[in-house]
Amino acid sequence: MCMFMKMNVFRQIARTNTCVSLIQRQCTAAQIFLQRCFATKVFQGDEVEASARVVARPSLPIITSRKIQFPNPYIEPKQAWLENMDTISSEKLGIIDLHPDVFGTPPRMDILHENVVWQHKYRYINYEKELSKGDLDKRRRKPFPQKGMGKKRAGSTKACNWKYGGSAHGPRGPYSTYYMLSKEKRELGLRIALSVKYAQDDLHIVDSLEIPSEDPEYLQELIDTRYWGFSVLFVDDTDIMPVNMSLAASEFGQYNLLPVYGLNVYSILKHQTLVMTLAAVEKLEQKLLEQMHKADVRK
Amino acid sequence: MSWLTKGITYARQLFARSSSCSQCISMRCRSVGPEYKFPAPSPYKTPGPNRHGYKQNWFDGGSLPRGIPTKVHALKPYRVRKTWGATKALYGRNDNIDILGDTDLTPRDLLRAPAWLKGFNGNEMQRLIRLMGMEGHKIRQLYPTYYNQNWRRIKYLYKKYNQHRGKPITNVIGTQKVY
Repeated sequence: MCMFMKMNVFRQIARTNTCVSLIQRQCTAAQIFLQRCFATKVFQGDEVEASARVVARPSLPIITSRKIQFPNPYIEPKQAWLENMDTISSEKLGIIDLHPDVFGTPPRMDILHENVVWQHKYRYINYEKELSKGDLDKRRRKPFPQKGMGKKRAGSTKACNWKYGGSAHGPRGPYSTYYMLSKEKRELGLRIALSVKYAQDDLHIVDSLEIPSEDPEYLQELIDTRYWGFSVLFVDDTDIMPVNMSLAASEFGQYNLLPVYGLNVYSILKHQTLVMTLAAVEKLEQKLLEQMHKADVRK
Repeated sequence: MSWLTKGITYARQLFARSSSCSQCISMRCRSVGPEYKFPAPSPYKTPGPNRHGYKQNWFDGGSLPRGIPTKVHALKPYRVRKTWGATKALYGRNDNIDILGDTDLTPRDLLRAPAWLKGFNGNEMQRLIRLMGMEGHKIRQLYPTYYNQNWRRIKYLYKKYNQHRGKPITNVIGTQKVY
């Protein structure tokens, strides 16, 4: 029986200023296949400890291939295990194919660097300001006569060489370092970051982010057992996350949840491990390939 | 007269701490004369010891400054940076929302900045003109001096950027010298 239960919808909003409309969950062929074959027992509260639960499954493997959209005819697809989050140690549910253009791009450090630098610079505002001669609230009068004083001649006390005088070439007011990196470079940066994670065995694909208990220790034990590292970024296709996962991850600063639209190079590189759901992989591939191959006229 | 020929006078005097000056030691060092192998016969004398003296400006208050009423200028206390706090953990989120999202949102729409600087990058004159265009009516009421100063600054910058520029051309028939 299909039993992906989401009790009491708990929204982990991706902290945007504007409201993002809910996206309907698009079930792909792979997802439907999993939902039908996948059977889990639903446990009540504190009946059984998380580690002692037994999950009933059909015989593994559940999935051995995945249909890739617009495959590259010259390069074989990359392959990855499909894991689960129901048990502490991972059960390999099957193998899936990944698009080589998205997860097998040759690495380019300069593109990654450009992306990270852009992410910082385009939102940075410098609020420094030094008052110039004209901004000072001082007398405009000549302080002493031109000749006869034995002092250096002066026309006002606001000059730069005077103490408490103005600043000629200092920072002038709040300014921004805004610029936009082209979409081509940004999507290439994403593809390279994902490829780097895949190549270094830091990318894991799971069926869904449903975990049996909201106890943060379950999540910690799971991550420690699987050697997923200090920090983990969980990516789902929508911004509505399961209850237990949200509550457990909120206890840790280094385990973070993101929807697909929030992915960026900086976050991928900051977290040691990247864990994506199958639905997220499908959506991500579709979006990145669309951006790669579309032929729209630039404004 | 060996005590004279040897000429060693040793006096160590610690001057009392005066309230104004710092805790310095002023020490009279050993006054030593040159050593002569053979004493000179009377009535000849050997040159005697000279009190050269040496004042060392040493702080003798201890290894650390203590009991000083003024503020101690020391390094700032170490502050642990919250690299996994709320703002820093997901820094950079939604920067590719125009590529990966389903709406018309762009990262420019999500910027948090003063209104006249959101998604705008320009030189000082451009920024000031934009500021006065967007917030000028408010500034005129609340900060009239700042309002006046801004327009004067814009005028000054316009002349600075646009006038007295370019190479002067010589050997040209006519009065216009700068193109």
